[in-house]
Amino acid sequence: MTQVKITGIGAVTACGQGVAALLAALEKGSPGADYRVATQGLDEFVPAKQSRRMDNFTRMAVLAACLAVRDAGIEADAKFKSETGIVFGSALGPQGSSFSFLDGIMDGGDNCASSFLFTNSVHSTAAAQVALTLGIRGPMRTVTAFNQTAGAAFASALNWISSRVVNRVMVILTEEISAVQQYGVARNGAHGPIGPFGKGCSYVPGEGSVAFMLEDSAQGYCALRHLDQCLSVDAAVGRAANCDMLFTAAAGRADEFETYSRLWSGQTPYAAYSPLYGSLYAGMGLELAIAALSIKKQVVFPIPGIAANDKKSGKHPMAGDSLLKKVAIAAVTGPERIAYAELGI
Amino acid sequence: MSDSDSVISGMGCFCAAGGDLASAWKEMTAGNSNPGSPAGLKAALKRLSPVFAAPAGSENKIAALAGAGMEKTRCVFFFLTALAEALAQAGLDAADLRGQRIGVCVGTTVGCTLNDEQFYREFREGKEPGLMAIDRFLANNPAQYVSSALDLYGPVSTINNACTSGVDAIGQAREWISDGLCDMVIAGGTDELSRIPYLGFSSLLNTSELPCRPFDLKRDGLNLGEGAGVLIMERRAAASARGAKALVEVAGYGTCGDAYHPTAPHPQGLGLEQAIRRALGGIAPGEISFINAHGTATTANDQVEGSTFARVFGPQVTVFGSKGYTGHTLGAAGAIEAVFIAQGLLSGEIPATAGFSEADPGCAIVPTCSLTRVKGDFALSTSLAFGGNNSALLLKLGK
Repeated sequence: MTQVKITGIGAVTACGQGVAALLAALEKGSPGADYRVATQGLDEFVPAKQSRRMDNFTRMAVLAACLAVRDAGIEADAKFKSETGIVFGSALGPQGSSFSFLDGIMDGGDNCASSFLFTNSVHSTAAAQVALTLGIRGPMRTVTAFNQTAGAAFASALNWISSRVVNRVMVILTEEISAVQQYGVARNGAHGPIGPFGKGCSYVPGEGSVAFMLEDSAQGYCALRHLDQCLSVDAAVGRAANCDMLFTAAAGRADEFETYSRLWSGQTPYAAYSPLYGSLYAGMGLELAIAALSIKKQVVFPIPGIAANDKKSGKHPMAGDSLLKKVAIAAVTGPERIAYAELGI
Repeated sequence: MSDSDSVISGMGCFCAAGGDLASAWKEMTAGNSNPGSPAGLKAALKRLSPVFAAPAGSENKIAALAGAGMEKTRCVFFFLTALAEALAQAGLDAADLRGQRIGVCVGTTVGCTLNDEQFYREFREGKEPGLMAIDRFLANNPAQYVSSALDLYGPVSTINNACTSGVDAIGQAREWISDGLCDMVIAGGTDELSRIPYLGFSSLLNTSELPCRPFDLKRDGLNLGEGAGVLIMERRAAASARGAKALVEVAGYGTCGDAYHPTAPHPQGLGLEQAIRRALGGIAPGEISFINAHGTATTANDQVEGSTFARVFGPQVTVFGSKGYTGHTLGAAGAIEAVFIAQGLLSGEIPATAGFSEADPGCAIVPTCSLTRVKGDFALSTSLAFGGNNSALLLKLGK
């Protein structure tokens, strides 16, 4: 039977670049305020001649991908290039290039449409740049379905590995902040700091990219044991009851609060780390990365801005031996729908 | 044949060639191509390219499918129109699907991009526009809209793989069925004419001022189009259990990247050949009855596709290109063309390649020049995209 393991993680978030930076931020447990991301680390992996053709969105994705390859300890040889697939997910896509393209025609007229910005405004360009950078010639897919993006992306990866299309798949989830998004959030009355366990609208747009190397392997952070793109809340609570911890992608959206409240109503200790990385549709991916790190380190990290064992705001199990054998990750995708995954040792 | 095979029990299309499959096929087999003026796009360009606009649709036809109070984009409207046709052929009533574990997988490009110019202009000018444009964008992710409007309980995915999106949506649907995630998937693609890709493709200098000429020696670029193609895909056992007829089987799917160039295909078509061979699986190339090529009528695409077909299948392989009837419908193209190859298998004939008149030796194949009889069980459709993505879909008669 195929055992899909997470063998590498690349995280580019407001916490910094790489797993070490994410770990340090998790251990510190301080909430962020500005969720913009720096990508200067890309210079280590990509020649300036190539990276200057990349917009911010693509830079985040390519950097996360390169970090995941390094984290997995994989050599980018011919075998890797031909036997690796890429599944890229983004809810909103490359907003910067999309709006810059519009700026160009509004400032200079239709004849000033930029071919460079047009190309970069296509969601799948980031995946293409990852493939170009790493020389990957396997299957490549870009999915975009708002809060259902992560589930759809991981489903593709699991199929490709289990059906032997490729030996490994890199799943990359990326979101970019735009001024338009911030305007929309402000008009809707949202204001930080992000309170994932509160009723109010505390959504603060975040950006970043997280990449996972998935392989049929005996080694790695943990195994991706289960994925369901559409579970009822009751079914999710039932499944999570058999888990040691429930990581949730709650990020301060008032319209999701009731559903998350039901999800948290079970006995399983739960957490949400959006105050660390911001509110983004790819939150399930970030929670999955944090869950993998928690299993690997056998640590439950403090929830930023939330006191430990605060029953109102999130239960916190105490650390201990074999604390986290199996954990659940869940994201609300609709009034009665949950995207759900389980990781295990 | 296996119970876990994916079969197609219903299909629909809505495009410039016709408002449903029957009328589109009638026009295509008669060789009628109707490109139109791009005046509606109000593009202030020195070079204008014709477009293939979808016919006027009917809200009545989709009343049972549209979400109450949910404003629709044209992308969603096109998809629902084709979906109504597909459901009818599959013998399904939308009301009976509610609450069922049915997946929705849709390819698109324009349909997942916030590019409302009026809103953005006002935003830039500090006029604090209302959020209707954003709300409409958030409510109209095509796959999410359909799943929500029909109250379905299955996996959802919108694929934006540029011009391979439609084929890739069908490929992902097949994966869901083979993995047992659901027994039925509404799969396809949809895209609408929009100023953004119109200006964008023009900026890339790969649009033609004339009706497009796939594989022709004098081809000089593509024309954009719009529309949707929808398939009702089911696990064979499930279709059989409800007494539905399997029209065709989705027998293979392959997708591969070139890792060569951000916009141009690999000149030797290495990724395309790999995708084709993956789709074929154990099927010998000689068993393929015909191919619907991506055939955009750009210099590079048609040369790469033609030479790859000749290498894999031999230069005499039967190839037709349909973009002379539909225009390049971007994220919908692979789905609309999947419907066309299914119809070709079922009817035993395929149309002439509209726009083609003079063979290009560089393409290494000659596409259909007239209505062509075909026989055999298998047909292939290929799609190529920005970023070097190549996808191929293999259909088999469902007898």
